[in-house]
Amino acid sequence: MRVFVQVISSAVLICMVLVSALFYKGSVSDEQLRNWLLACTVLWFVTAPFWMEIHQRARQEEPAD
Amino acid sequence: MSDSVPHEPVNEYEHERVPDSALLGLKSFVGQYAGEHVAGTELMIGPLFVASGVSAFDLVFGLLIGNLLAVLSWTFMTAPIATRARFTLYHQLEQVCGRKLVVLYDAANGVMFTLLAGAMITVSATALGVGFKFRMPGLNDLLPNSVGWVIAVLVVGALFTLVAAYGYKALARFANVAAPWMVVMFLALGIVALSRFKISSGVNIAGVGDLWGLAKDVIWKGGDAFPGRVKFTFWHVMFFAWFCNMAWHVGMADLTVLRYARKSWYGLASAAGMYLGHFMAWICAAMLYALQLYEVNLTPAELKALADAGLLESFKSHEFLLTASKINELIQAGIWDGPPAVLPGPMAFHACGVAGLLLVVIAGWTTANPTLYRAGLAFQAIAPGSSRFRATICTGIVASLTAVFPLVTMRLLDFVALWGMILMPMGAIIFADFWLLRRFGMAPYRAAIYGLTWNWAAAMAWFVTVIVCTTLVLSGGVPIFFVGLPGWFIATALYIGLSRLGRRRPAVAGKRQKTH
Repeated sequence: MRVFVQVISSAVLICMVLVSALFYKGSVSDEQLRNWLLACTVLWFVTAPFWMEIHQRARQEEPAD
Repeated sequence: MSDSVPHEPVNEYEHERVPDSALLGLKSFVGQYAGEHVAGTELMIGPLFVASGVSAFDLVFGLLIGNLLAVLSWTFMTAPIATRARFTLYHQLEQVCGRKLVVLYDAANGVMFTLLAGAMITVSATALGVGFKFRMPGLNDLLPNSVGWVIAVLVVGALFTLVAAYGYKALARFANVAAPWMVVMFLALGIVALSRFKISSGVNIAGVGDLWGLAKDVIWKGGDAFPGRVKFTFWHVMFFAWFCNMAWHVGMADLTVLRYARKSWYGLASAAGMYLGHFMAWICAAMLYALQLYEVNLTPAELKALADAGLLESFKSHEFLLTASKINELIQAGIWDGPPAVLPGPMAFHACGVAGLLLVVIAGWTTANPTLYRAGLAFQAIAPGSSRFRATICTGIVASLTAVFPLVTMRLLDFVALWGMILMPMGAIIFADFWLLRRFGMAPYRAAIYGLTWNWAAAMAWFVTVIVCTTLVLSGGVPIFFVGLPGWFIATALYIGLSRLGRRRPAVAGKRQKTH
């Protein structure tokens, strides 16, 4: 489950860059850009806390390399 | 700029060496630096470069080299001491300068943190202006110019203060979650601003050469600074990028962070913060302001005034608004009061809609939260009996009141340089104490060894350096961005010289543990 959510979060960030790049290319309209960025933002804040909190706790406990 | 959320392991080892079992790997520092240096301040700093008339070459190469120097300062000045001594800045300072001088350092730091938190409240309040349409301060305004602005700032300030006092840890966790999103949002803002420039200017971008042409001929044309601003050259940008975090690297504040590093070369992890935050984010934020200038929409009354002044045709050419001389013409014609304001809220909303607005609020909030907390801690250390809660509330009230006045925010470049200038001498003193005193036949950690609560050599080195630097700025005409370098040498030489003058027999033999 954690890996699944992590993949979604990462995809969301990639999607934000991709949509901006498509806007640059002229393939996405102004309104579509705004909607996509907002949707990605919401998705990020819904999914990221699930795995980032766990990851941070694990990192605090991990030994130094 | 740094807005570090303090690293909070279970035991913070405030008065002891960090044990080997608590050391952290490189990844921890890369993540921490990347998160710290993509902050609300970046939304102001990038645009202020544009207002300073910076050219594309000066901006890009000044930032590349200045940030490299900052990374090298962390790696070769801060990290080697941090990984040998493994003490917090405050413990190290107490051993070198004495408890009473540390209290003074705390007070100076606390004031700076309060003003920075105020600047972040100002940044976030600009987001409210998009919805409520009140008049917001201009670039050169020192006083608030509308009741709506004052109410918005006080509401935002009250909210930030209450959260910092009651829910600091929850928001610190939220800040960690928001950090990667903020990096990507800055990048998105930059790409979108570039696209809009491409569309508005009609420039066809087929390769890197065309992109560079757009950057130097349209976005960062150079020329004079806007009225009331200092002209920025390559040297200004380079020294600003190097010294804007001077308090953290040369000033040694990051001893507290890097004492957990297994190797001193982990200081290179600061490159993640410098090149994401102080290169990419600054450039993207600068483009937003340049776009605002390029696509400025004048009211019918302003357009009529332009026509009356015979300036309408050159305004329509789109070449008009990116140069200081043209802005001066507008001001002289009585059409504008001053240069266009740097308002992160409207700029980000124009580029990316509600997501952009969220970036402004979240970046400002996640920067203000640890800043208020740290300021509260600094003041609490001065009055140890007071509660952290009350100290944070009081700090928040003062920060909110300062935020009403846009002085610090609109002069953020100077404020950041001033912060570095005031705290840098203490870093030079730690450096000299750790590496140089033995070479001159003196023992390091002088306050601990001699049982001092006020090390006069350190105090005089600090005060005299700040006075000399201030005199150079006020009377010598030296820009504040440049005085940090000579200031460091002055502080180092003064500390060594004054320590030698005041040399005496140790009072507390063998009290210090061997650290290097």
